[in-house]
Amino acid sequence: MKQEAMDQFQSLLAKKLGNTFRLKWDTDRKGVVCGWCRLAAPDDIVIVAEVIAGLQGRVLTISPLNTPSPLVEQAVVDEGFTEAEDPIQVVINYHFFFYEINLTAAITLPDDRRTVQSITPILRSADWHEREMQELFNIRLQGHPNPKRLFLDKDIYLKDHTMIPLSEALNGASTNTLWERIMESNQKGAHADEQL
Amino acid sequence: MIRFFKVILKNIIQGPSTIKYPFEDSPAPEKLRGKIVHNADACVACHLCEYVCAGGAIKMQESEDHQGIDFVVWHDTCTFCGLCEYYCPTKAIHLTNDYHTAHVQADKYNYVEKTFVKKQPCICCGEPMVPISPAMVEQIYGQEGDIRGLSKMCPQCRRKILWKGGVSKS
Amino acid sequence: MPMSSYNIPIGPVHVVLEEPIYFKLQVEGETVVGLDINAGHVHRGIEFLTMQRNFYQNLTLTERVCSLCSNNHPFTYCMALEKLAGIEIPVRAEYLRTIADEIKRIASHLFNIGIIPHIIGFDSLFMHAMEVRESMQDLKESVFGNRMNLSVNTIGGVRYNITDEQSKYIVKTLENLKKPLAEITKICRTDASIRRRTEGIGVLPKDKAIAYGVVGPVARASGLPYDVRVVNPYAAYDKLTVYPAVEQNGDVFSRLLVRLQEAAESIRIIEQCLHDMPEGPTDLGYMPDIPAGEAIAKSEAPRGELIYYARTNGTPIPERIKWRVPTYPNWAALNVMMPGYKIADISVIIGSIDPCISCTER
Repeated sequence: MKQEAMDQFQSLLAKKLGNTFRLKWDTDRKGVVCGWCRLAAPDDIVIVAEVIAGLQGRVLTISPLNTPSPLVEQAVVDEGFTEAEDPIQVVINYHFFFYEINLTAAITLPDDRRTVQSITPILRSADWHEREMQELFNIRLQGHPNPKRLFLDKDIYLKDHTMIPLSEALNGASTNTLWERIMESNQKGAHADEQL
Repeated sequence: MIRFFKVILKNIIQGPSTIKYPFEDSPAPEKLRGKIVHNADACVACHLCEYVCAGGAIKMQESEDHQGIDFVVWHDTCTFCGLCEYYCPTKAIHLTNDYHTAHVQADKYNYVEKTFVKKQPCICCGEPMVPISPAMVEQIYGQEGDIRGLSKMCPQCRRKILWKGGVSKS
Repeated sequence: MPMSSYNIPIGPVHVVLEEPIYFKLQVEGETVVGLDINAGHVHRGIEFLTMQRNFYQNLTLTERVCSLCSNNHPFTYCMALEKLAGIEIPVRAEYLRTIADEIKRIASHLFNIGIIPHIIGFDSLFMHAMEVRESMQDLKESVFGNRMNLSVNTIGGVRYNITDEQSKYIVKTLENLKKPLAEITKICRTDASIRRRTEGIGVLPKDKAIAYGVVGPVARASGLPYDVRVVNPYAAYDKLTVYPAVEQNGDVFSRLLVRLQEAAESIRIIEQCLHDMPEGPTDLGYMPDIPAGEAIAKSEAPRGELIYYARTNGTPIPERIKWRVPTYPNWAALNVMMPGYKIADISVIIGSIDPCISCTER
């Protein structure tokens, strides 16, 4: 059953895309199948979505990522870090599910373009994921039936840097300044004890 | 509805399920993860706890007089996840079941667990070094312990001795 | 005479529970005709934060995405990394992970089972359900060390073990839970006031459930027998028998029934685990290296399918961690559940998908 579905998907995709894509399957020891598909052109994702829709599948999620990710560099290099001008490549992983199979289809956007074809008209379950990607990664959608903001207010402009993300503002950790105060205050506390 | 009245009646007879904390003590199970205590004698200052701590609540740094390592846990940013205890090779860190962490605002920077891991001089060259704790010695050398005193030497001296004495003999 | 139509705002404060989400409802008279959902009020950027911390710090960080399904986050995160690094965890660890997960499921479901009567004004049942749930909280506190964040999972195994004495204690607590749970189930099934407010309300037909890709109890209440534990087994679920609860009507009442049955099913699964669990190590005994690569892992959280995508580059910090929580696809299905029902039904419909907003926004 699973093998049939895998073969069916592969042949349907090959019929439409020829041999421009790379596809490999891996099965873990509990029999869970994951497919990894790399597409040549960004617009090919529409074809994959059509094939998945034909197999009564759905979208699990969409994970866009910047690579080489500037976020990781920031974590490694500390203060005094100036923003590098390296071009960022956007890779978008679309995770689909059909017949007990998890399939990930990856597209890479060209450097000069941050636009993708929306697959929501084909697969309804992509709706929120695409809208999230539009806001959090500034990837524009073409042909989305309801491209309204999901998280951010409509009056916030994505290019406008007056807004500081909460994660950046807090960084979710204790800073050096904070630790200096802890170490300092604790020394004072120790002295006070001695005087007593 | 009648079925539920039975439940209500049962609950009334049973009495209240809550306790009058803080006027009454609320016992905590032994496994509860609460405030951290650190045993400086068992610590080998490997910094693993600092590495795994998500909240950045643990700080280990050399003291100003270079005589040892200051170990500080700031309880106000600790999430009580217990990763430090789990990964501590000598179990020098322990999360007690003491969950009482209320304190006044003025004490917020003082609300720490602070210990001092004292350095000892190397038995060969006298250079101060973080001693390998007895717990670690037992882990490495087994029950009979470190007969050759390697654990009391700084890394440089240890290397020299091992090179001279031949590793294969022991 | 045409009925007057209005736009009414619901939220963002205190829609159902103490979590913010904003609904713009179009109503005609008292009937809902359309809605617009606006989230983002508690977005904390946790996905961004995971890309700044090492693999071990992220165990604690991911556990704090959500509270009721907190255990599933590090669980699935660990499974993704283990798949990526080709780590095989000890069998005992698989069982221990399963036990922790099912205990969390019971506690989470009992919470929602209490919330539904609370929304419709049946507060004494809410109090009773919460008191019954308290035994699960005590269980978590004494076996794992915390009432919500269990801190069970680590890369390559688990961080806790169960002694024979604790095993007996778990069995006893579960045994004591069976009777009150059966009682609550009976009350929910038969009580006229509950049935009046939940039966035939917020219906999600099967075809729409498929189209919107809903998961968890919401999907199973609409007749979709999809359960990750059965379809894509993980941990010890390939060695256990799991019977997912399925209802056909797709209304609020069915979703309540699914959760009630699943809580009972979880008790059975834990007993099965404690019986079958072999002796042996619970972790790898070392901190494994995570090579460069990518992987996905899925698990059945109390609210449904949770998926993690991890991509690493050989450094101790992940390049990308992305997760999709079960509530996420269920939100959009409210577009089907709400229109046609009265304003008074809105909160019970929202409550019936057991929404987790801190999960949705991350």
